[in-house]
Amino acid sequence: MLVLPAVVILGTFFFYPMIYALVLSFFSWNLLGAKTFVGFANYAFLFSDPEFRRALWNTVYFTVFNLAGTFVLSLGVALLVTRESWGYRIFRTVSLMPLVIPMVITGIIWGLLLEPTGVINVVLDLVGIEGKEWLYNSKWAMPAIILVSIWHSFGLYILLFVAGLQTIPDELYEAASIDGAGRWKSFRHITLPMLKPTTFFVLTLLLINSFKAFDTIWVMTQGGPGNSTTTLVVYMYQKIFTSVGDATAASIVLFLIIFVLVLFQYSLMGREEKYS
Amino acid sequence: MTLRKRGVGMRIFSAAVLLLVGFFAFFPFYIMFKSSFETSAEILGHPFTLLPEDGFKWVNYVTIFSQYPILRWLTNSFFVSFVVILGNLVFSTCAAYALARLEFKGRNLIFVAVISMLILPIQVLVVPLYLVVSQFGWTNNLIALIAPNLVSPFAIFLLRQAFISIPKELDQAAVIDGCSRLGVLVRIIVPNALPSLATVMVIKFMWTWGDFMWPSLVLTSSQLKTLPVGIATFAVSPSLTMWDLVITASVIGALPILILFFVLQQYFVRGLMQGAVKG
Repeated sequence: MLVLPAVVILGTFFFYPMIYALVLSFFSWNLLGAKTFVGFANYAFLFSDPEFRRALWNTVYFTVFNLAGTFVLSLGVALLVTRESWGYRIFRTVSLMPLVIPMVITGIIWGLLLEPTGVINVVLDLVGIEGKEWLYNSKWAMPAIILVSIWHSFGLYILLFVAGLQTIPDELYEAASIDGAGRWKSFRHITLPMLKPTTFFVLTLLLINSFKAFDTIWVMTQGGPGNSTTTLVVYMYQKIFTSVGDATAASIVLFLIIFVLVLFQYSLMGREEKYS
Repeated sequence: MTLRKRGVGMRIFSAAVLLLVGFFAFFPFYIMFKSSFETSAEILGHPFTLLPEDGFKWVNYVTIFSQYPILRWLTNSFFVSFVVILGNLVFSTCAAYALARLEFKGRNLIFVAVISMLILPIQVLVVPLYLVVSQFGWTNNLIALIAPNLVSPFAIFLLRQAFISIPKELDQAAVIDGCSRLGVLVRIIVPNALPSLATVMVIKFMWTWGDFMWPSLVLTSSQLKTLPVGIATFAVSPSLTMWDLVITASVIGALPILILFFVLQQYFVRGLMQGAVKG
């Protein structure tokens, strides 16, 4: 009795749509007319559609740099935090502020900062770098969006890394320093191996979240200029009212990618546990 | 705690980096607040100033409240968030209790299903969900935002973990004293899991308050929009953006969640770490 409402709601709004999406991805439909069974034609269309391939490429581009940038920044900062001092607590609060505000607002604030006469270009000008037309330029729009994405979530990853670092016992470092290990050796042989579970977790999260990127992109560029920032989800969103079959097929592809990433994480984690 | 000895130089370097990165995080917020007190021309005008040129003017706030349905959007957002949180406190708590304490057929199956839904992002579901909701005739109705969110896998998962850690002896003692199953839930489980319930509340509030993709799909009438969707309509085409109004609306949309964050930080931090998959 107690689980019934939950089961009904989750069934109606999670499981049923999932199955329904799978079914619809084999049909051609524009929301109004009749549905026609087309087999794998939607999938075949996706992979022959240059826009979809562009979206896939953009998603990979975004993912690689978002992942690398966020990872280096958050691990680097986390390594500098050794104690939960008041300074760190203030820093933690400030660094999490971007994460809690609606992503639409993130997109708006940065849209303003990245305007050709906006603050970013003013600052660049101060250090002698020529400003760019960030969001209006198909070459610079994606790097700008990656910067915004890093800003949005690096606080979370610092939090995760600091938590991971705190689980490493002090005794290990003490023992290492008695044995004459320097800072680099301690890092290489204690910190990195001990931090492995956190690192895997962070990398998987970053991967999944990168593949989901949508809100800020939609507000800042709507996929433009000229498809240069159209990611998988943006592509799907644009297709929903014109071609349900293609949109659902795209969502199934997205699901499969995320599913594989999660399986990959579990298998890595599983192996870790077996060894330790 | 890793108390590694460090020289003064290293400590200064650490502090400097944290200060710089903290500045990177905070500066955009400062620009947002500052710009909300400026006119469109001043916001992007030269030269750049750190403070509004003619002092703090409230005219943008007056305009936005008097000429746009932002009060309506705020009300919609608060209403939807409130009902969603209430729904989760009731339904997710019940489900979590059953999964943590009761023996019944299919329990493991349901739990595995909850875990698998935890990793499923809304982006994947949005197309079929739209079709389901339109079959119910709920498009352009706030119920489309509420119904699918009344229960969340995240809340069930987090609460189940919290309930499991409460000693079973407490339940048994209460049962001996004549407490029913529901009595145990209300008198024993809930009072012992208040921090987790608070975490669910703040995280659900954050997600519902900031949700954009789903509401922007199902809501078309201006009167029904939630705040993020309403704000986004100001920003439709980049070259015509009314920056003074958009940025002021952004301040209004960011303030409630920021204030909540400052007050209930510990619950946010816990929830962010546990619900990181969804963030």
